[in-house]
Amino acid sequence: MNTRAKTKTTRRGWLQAGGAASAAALMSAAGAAPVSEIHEEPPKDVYTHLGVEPFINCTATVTTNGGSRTLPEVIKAIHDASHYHVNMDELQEAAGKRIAKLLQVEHAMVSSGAAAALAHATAGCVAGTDPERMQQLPDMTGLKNEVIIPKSSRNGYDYAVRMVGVTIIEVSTAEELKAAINSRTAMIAMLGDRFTPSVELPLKEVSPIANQAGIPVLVDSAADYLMTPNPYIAQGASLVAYSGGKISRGPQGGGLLVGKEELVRAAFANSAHHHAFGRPMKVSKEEIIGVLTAVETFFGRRDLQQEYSEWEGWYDYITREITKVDGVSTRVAEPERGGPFPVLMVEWDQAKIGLTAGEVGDLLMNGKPAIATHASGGGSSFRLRPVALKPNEYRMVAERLHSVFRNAPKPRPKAPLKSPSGDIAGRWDVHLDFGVGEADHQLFLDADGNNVTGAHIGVIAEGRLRGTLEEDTVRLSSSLPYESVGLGYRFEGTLSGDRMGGLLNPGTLPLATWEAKRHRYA
Amino acid sequence: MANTTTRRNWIQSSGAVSAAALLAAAGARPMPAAAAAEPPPDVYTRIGVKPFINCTATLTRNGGSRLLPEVIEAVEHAAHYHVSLNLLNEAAGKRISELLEVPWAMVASGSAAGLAHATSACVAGANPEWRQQLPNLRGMKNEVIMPKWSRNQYDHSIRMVGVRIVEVETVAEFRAAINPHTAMVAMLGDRFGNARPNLEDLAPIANEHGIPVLVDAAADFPIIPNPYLKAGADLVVYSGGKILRGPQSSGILLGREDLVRTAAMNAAPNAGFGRPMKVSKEELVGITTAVEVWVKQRDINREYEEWKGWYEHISREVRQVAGVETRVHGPTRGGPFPTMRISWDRDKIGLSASEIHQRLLAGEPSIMISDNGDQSNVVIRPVALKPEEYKAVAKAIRSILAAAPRGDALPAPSKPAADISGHWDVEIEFLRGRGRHQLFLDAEANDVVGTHIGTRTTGELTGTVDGGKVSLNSILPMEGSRLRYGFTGVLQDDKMQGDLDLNEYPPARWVAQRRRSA
Repeated sequence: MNTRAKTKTTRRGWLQAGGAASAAALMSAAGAAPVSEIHEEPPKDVYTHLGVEPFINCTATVTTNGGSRTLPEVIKAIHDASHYHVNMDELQEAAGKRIAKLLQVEHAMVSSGAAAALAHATAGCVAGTDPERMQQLPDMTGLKNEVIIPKSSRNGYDYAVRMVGVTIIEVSTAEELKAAINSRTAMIAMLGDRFTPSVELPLKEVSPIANQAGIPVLVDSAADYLMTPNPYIAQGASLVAYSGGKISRGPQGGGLLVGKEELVRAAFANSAHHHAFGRPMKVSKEEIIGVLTAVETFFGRRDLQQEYSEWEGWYDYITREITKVDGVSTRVAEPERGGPFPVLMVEWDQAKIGLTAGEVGDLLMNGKPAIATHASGGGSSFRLRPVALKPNEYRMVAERLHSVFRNAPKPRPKAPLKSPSGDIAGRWDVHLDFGVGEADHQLFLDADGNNVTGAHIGVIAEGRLRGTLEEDTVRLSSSLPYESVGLGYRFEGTLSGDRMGGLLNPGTLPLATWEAKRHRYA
Repeated sequence: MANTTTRRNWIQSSGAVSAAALLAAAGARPMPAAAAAEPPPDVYTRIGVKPFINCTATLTRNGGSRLLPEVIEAVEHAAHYHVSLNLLNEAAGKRISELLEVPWAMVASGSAAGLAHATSACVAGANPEWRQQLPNLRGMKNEVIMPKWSRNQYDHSIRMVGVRIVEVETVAEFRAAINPHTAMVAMLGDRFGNARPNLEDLAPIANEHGIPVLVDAAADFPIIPNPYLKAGADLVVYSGGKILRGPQSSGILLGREDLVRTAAMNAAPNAGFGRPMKVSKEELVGITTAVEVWVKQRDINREYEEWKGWYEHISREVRQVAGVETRVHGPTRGGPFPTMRISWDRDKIGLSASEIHQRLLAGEPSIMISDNGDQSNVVIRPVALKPEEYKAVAKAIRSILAAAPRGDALPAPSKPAADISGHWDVEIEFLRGRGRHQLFLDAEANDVVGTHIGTRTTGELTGTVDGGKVSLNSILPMEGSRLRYGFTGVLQDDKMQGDLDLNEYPPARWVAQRRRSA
């Protein structure tokens, strides 16, 4: 990480004139937002009357924080589209053709997000356009039921591939890939590797093998931006999935699937609004028009290099403000997969500033105006990401961050934990009540002072566990690897002799509880 | 056919009444925001897509509902800000549940997604391991019981979670079908029908066994208190983009709080089975607004009256053509609003419903009406019509009917080029994929009946042979769907081939070879 990051801020010149520059001057100096981006904002009532407070968003395009900052062109197009009725097949066909032409690909379709594009692509590769096979999903009887994914590409979103009913086969090398291909192989899926050139099994090695075997290759390029010619298709991919609601700044619930015409059409047949597996992944006429408008704007007035420069201008300003506090430093990290834009790393010396990243995050979120950041956990750094920031918000971010750091408490020595009041070591039979559903798991625990480590054995997965015991208060957390995810469990409760129990994953609903008994060997 | 329009009295003064008078007479309130100037349709027309006047109500493929002006505005406002989707989901769920007086509610990306989320909640619960293992149901309850009459193409959204559907036709069969693998009971909302066994028959038994009951009330409108929850359902699904007039890709799942919250765990934005069924912040705000307007401002009975006023006008216009009749039908499941059927005497008006459909669509303004094929009637459904559009609809239909050719008998078909009777092997080339089907045909003169054997299912077929031209139509029932195949092509000796129409799916090609017994 350190080797790839470099400090760019001092090399920029446009802020040298210093403090008194107006926002407008700053923006024009940074080559920033064109006139169409500056418009009167409507009231926030639609959110505040529900008790939800909008925030300044330093987390870029994270779905849980509302996705991208929708382009004004897109907002207007969606508004206009709402007033009319059209035939959805005709609209998808026309939008698909237009998007395909702009992206210089064979064909395109709009989906309800990139994950839906992965599901439709998989359904198309597995069932084709035979209505009987389409209807039978996710029952794989008589269908090709394996999808090969390079190990380095496994991630939480490949559930959208798995949901169609296929089995995922992991491979690490070209030899393993060749050996894994068989008559049941429906597809090969992988992450876009434009930002990870040293990945173990890159697309340029996968495609020739796949193409020779006649197996489609799907690339998940969700967070990436659009390029012509398409870098993945140029390397032999058959299908590429993009998010519409990230750097493309289209509607939050929009996605794109592009590539070989026959495969895109097969994916579309299996998708909403058709009566097929993908029917619940519904995309509206407004979202189709919105994604199309975002693609047009991307290849129209937008200039990503200029946006990068603008964002780096914001970073310069923020850096200058917050590094006035002793112990705070920043650096600009290069674009990466998942965030194809420069990112500002904010770091501080915890010997001088007595705040964890989590505390900084909470102070920013609970302040006025509320600011959402990636600051969390016990560390002393976080990434500040620009895509969802409005043109003038960087100044407020700088001011609030500066104030949080300046007013930070001095580091306090952590009070030591009080001694455990019992012995937690050993084997425990634990009954989990999820509110809806129950399960019996086992915990194998080791204790060293307050620290607890161990193994958590579930029903289909098992993993490592760690935590603390302070007096009779138990805090344990574990992660059980399954497919591409870690299933997280947090046990909080009290220990009393050979029994313990309390809340499972506190803070979530429905309320879940756990009860453990020390295992008695017969 | 009875003509119910004459029994109404609100436009008796007739003839010269203005639209405003009609509306007032029909007890309709003009929607204040609806008067706002419409934006140009350029977003569609510049890519060659022509908007139409929509007489098909809320059909998804024709763009869903007519969005409320309040929803359009709220969606636009929502697009300008960032919020926590988790907080917004919680706040929207709370608000909708308060408005509809139900325990809890969540927003889904349409009612089909509501069915999928509900099913995953009933199958996997909130258990993290089970939630990640879907649609592989090893170790889980894997059966969903449905009354046979409730099977429909949307139950694929239940099946997609990996469950097997068990069909029952009687209460006794239902009792016998319940076993430790039963995860859920699912059925269509039965407010408009009298099919049995109904919710009142099944819910008490399901409740006794602790099995959740899901009601798909997609096209219906919410009523307070909720009639399905009252009858013992645990979960109910509504579309947001139909009569509620919210965003096209939104839906509501409401009911028991623990189950709805568990369903939400499996839904976007959370990582899990339902992640691809994405709901945006705009859609969350849009559907919440639609429910607020529904409960606080809209009066469905007044809307009914307004729509019936439109029907009066259309009826009066089109019945000026000899041989045309109209009839207003009451609300039904799938269309909880009055509709009007326009039918005509084929001897006087030589046009099929399909031809009317095409002429209306090609006209100016373009009008979309249901395509009833070779029948001699079309149905007007009102929900997606804008207040003044009924006049253009009346005018266009009247002029097409008036200009129709006299109904001449179709020319008699030519003698078949060969006897098509027998056993045929059919090779189908889909846009992607191939299939080997079989046809068993029985011809009498030009008419054909027979059996179509697919790779998974079998159905019946009817058709005609006209000289060397073949036209065969079959329906293959599969799960809740009825797959339609339309074979057209040429017959020559022991070979047939041509195009295969697959209804909403991409068209295919077919080649059939007569099978000779060895």
